[in-house]
Amino acid sequence: MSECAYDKGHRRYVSNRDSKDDSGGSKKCDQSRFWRIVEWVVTLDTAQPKAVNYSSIPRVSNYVFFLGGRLRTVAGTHYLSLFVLAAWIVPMVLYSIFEAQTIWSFGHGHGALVVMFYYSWAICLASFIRTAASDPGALPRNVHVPTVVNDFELPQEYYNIITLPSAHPEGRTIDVKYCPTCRIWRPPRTSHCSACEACITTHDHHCVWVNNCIGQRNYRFFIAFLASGVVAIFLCIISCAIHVHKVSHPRSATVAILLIVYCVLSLWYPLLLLMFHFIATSTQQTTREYLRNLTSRRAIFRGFVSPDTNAFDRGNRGENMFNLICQPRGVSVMSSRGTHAPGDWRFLSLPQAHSFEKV
Amino acid sequence: MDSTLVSLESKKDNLEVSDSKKALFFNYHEFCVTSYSELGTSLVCDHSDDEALCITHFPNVYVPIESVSFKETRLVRIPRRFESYVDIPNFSTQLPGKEPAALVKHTTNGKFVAKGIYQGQAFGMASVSPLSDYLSDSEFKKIIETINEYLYNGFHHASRMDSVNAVLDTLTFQIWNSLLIRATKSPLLELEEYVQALNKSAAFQDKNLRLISPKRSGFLSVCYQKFKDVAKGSNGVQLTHTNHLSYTA
Repeated sequence: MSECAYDKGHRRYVSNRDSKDDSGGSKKCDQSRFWRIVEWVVTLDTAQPKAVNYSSIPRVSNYVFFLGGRLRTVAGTHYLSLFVLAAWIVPMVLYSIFEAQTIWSFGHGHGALVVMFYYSWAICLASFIRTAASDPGALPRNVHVPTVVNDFELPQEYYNIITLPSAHPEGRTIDVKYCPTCRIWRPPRTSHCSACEACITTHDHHCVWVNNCIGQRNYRFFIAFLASGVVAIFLCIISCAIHVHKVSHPRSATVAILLIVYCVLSLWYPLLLLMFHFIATSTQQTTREYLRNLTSRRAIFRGFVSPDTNAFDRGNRGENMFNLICQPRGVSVMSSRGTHAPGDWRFLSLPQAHSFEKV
Repeated sequence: MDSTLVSLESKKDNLEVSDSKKALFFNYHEFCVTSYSELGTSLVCDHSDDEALCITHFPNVYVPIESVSFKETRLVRIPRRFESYVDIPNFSTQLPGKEPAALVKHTTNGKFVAKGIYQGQAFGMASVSPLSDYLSDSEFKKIIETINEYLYNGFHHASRMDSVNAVLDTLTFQIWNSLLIRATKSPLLELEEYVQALNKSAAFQDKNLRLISPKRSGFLSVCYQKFKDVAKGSNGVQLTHTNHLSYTA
């Protein structure tokens, strides 16, 4: 099917806007190459829906795609991820200009310190990009639509929490809920993120600093981002401290002192967050589960115990940690670079859900 | 709905309900309606809870809503179960209506029996779906067990190898696993091929059945798509049987 015919077919089902007349349609088909390139570089919800998923996903979620769906972010936020990116690049630039060559010249293995810093810095940057710009495990919409009459009404049963038996040896149960926004039966640990407007598998939390959800498909990237960040900061502090130690007067190493202060201040948040995630995963809890199980804000340490109702608990801290951090990522079921046919329900914006009783 | 409560409080008969408050599995996709028309009539009226229809087949969300296929096909959804694994997709190997907490009243040898019309479709009063008329218990179990095996291989931790890959992935700027995926064949891709082969098989073609790829549903459910039975008339005109899947009063 040509792109033009596809567009007409797609709009027929998806768009709530009035359809344009034929002349308007042909005008769209003549979309200039410039705008096609612009839409490929940045795909917003105003993009013309095409057969590729990244052009249609923004219409049913808050995702914005870049470079033909290769990268993504969430629209309508404070874009703190750009601040994090800048806060990560600036010290490296300062280090490269003022410190690297000096420390390298000290010899006796100091060069290895410089190499290790750049290596861990690059791993951190790569992990940050994968965390912030990849699919966290978004699930398709409208897979479990029960009925199409009365504006796709939902039966009352779909508003209940379903308790089902699990594989846990002590007979612990798991709960399954229906997401009235995505219209799917969510598996356990999946939850709907209102910032992304999507259900995320093994949803840990929505991270404002990376402007993306942390879920099953990017959790290990997130942990790698924190761990390599902490290592890079430590290496920066050590190498700058050596520089300060080697000079006769601190004035000769102003940038090194500045970097030490900057790194010490910026070390705590990722370090504490990393420790939190190590402890939380060892008790087989996601951040959401930990916060939900907290009885009070004063009892934050009591939350680091696996609840008696946790059907995912393997009874071993190491195994729990491995299970959550190294969990297989699976495939992206809403792949931004995949294709779909016109009228695909996954990209339909259905009316607000209501039960039979509310009609 | 708490299945423990449902098991105890439901007025329907259950096969394996015990007095203990033990959670029992049932197909959470199904729901009950009391406002429907009797077979052979078009008058919609309210019925008692004991006479509620159990909705076991659903609109086909894998074809466009305005297409002919949408009007001519229905879906039977097989839910995920968690008794074997909690973190690996695993689907029920029991036909709808055979689950421990299924509604089993008014069934005839586990076959689908239509009792009323709801939204132009025929439904029974039990959890049995029309799929039971097309697949035997063993055929169904074999298909779902094969799917579950592919999913297990695709989502299971290979312990040491997974740890090594995770470390290598980190050390190679998160590109190791991307290369590994291209070098090895994923069990989830093999599952796609299995589903395609099954849909092309004579058994499925003859029954007008189609299995929807679990990947297409995000591994949330396995869906069987059932077409209307279409036969060629002697004059070459297509005749359409309205069977219980697309029954119109």
